[in-house]
Amino acid sequence: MDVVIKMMVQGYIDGLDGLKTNNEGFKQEIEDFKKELLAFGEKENDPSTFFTHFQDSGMMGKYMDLTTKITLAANASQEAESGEKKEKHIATPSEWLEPFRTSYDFIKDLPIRERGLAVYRKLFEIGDKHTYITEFLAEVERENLLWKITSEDTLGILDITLSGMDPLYKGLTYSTLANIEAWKQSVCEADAYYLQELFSEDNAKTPQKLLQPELFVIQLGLHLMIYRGPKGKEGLMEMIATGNCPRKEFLSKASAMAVGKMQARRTMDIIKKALGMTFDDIIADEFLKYKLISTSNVCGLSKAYVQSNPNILDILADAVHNEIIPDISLIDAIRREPAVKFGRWRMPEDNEYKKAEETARNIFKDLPYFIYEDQLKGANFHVGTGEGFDIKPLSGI
Amino acid sequence: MNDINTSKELYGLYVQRFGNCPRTPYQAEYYRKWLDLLNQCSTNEEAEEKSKQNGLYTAGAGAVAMDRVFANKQAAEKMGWTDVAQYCDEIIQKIQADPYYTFTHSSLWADLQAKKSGWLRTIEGFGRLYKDFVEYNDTRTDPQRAMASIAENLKMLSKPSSDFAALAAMPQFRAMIDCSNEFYKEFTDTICKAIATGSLETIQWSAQPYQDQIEELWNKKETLSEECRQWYSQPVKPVCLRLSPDSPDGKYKLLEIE
Repeated sequence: MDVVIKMMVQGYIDGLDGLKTNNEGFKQEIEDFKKELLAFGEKENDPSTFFTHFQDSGMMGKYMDLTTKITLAANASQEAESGEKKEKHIATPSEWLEPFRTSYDFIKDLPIRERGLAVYRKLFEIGDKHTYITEFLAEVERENLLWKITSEDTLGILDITLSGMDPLYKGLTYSTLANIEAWKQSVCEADAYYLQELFSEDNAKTPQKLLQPELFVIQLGLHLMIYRGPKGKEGLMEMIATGNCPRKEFLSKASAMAVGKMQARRTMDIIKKALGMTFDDIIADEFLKYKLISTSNVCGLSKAYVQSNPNILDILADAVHNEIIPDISLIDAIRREPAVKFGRWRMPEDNEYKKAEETARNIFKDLPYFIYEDQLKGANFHVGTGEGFDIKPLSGI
Repeated sequence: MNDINTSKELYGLYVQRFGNCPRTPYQAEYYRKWLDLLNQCSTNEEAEEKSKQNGLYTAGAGAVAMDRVFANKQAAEKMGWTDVAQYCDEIIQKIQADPYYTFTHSSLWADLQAKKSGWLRTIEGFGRLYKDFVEYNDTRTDPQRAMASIAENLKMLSKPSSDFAALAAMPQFRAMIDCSNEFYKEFTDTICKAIATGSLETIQWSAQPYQDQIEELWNKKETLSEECRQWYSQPVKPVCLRLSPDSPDGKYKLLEIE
């Protein structure tokens, strides 16, 4: 068994061993389930998918059912054994608020979540005003605060998430925007569940649909890069300029240029047929046009990208308009090169990505997404045991 | 103090909130029953004792869970996921019969999710098949790779049918593909043919039509030296950072990285 999987399985076994029961039937069920767990662990070989498989296979549900059943039974028998009836204690507002104070303590070091924190503070303020629980709860209900704690905090986090996204990238932002809409329209949790469920189908369909035009444009970009880039025209020009022209390599680049042109022309025909778009339509679309070139996100959730040079789209558009669509000869295409205008270009190197990442991060440092990222990194989270634990950046999102 | 009049006001507020929301009939009913009970009693203690006898005392968690399941049911009905809606009905009946059901069967949420995943996986699989087609159709150079991916993605189809042609004919699946009817037909015909024959057509790309131009380029390359040298003497352009705008109507800003 994989060592990480072994540790995870052992964690569940330890949990089962910690259950207290004198019931022989339960004891047998625990032993049987432990065997099942070990057999399951043997079958799994990828720790990254273990938990998903554990859930999907029903093992997680079985584990939860078994532990809940035994714990409930143990509590019931403990109560029966103690015999004497405890004096009834009615919780005070302060006692009732205890779990909320724990949640508040957990997120208070993340001041960017002010929307949620403000509702907690309002709740505590009302708690301080009252001695009796029913009076306290009535005021909480009048203000609908219990719902607001969930909805305001969730809406706050969704807004934070959205701030780290490229707003033009609708295939990416759609689900978050739909989720925000669901929470805004909801008046209670069941309402939010309903709207989220209702959006689940839409969320599966619409982002896919929004991303579909990209598929064509990315393909077109690949052909244009072959035609115009180092494997094609750019490569030939460099060979001619330096006089280093082995025939085999030269012919290979010339062929790539020719095939790149044929494929680009075919793809433009397909795009016209499928989407009714011309190359000019693509170039006129602020988001879509950048799918023609190879760019990498270097900041947040597609907040900034690195591309090979500022003129790259102009270079490709020039090639399409003046060489590929009119189908001028290969030699004429090289002869007409507007050298000074476009200059030479190349793909970015690793250190440039790193520098770009730092620059972008510095530019966007005041966006809520990055403030939250910093606060999560800096926050001192503690769980009930008092032991700290590491969190990954943005685990709260 | 915790007097019964404050309790009545509190439960009245609950009835109002949950009664006004169309997604929470079970919590509305639960609090209505509590309010009725409070109206029949003179103290909170008396109401609590009576609630223990009539089962109301332990019915709260069940009401919350039933509303949650009910929300799922309503959404499933609206989306036409009939088996999910039926499953939700079964869960609600079980909770009504046993107030502890949600505690002893906490896996019910995972089971419900599993029921829904068949529908969502089908949607995802159908979209992936379209992606397979677009990528394959572009150059038609790697049919084996496309075929392998198509075979894998066909396995994702299950709800409401596992038959690709049947799904493709449904308006809701047509609506999730952004293309002309002509291209959609090409897509569905190609996938149906791939399913029937287990293979896809290939295009053999060749520079042959440009052979004369390629030879001309090789033979006259020296005549291009000046243009190419002029280009080659240019400094290499710096790479560039593209910053996203603040709003969906904005434009990217380009920033050269020195």
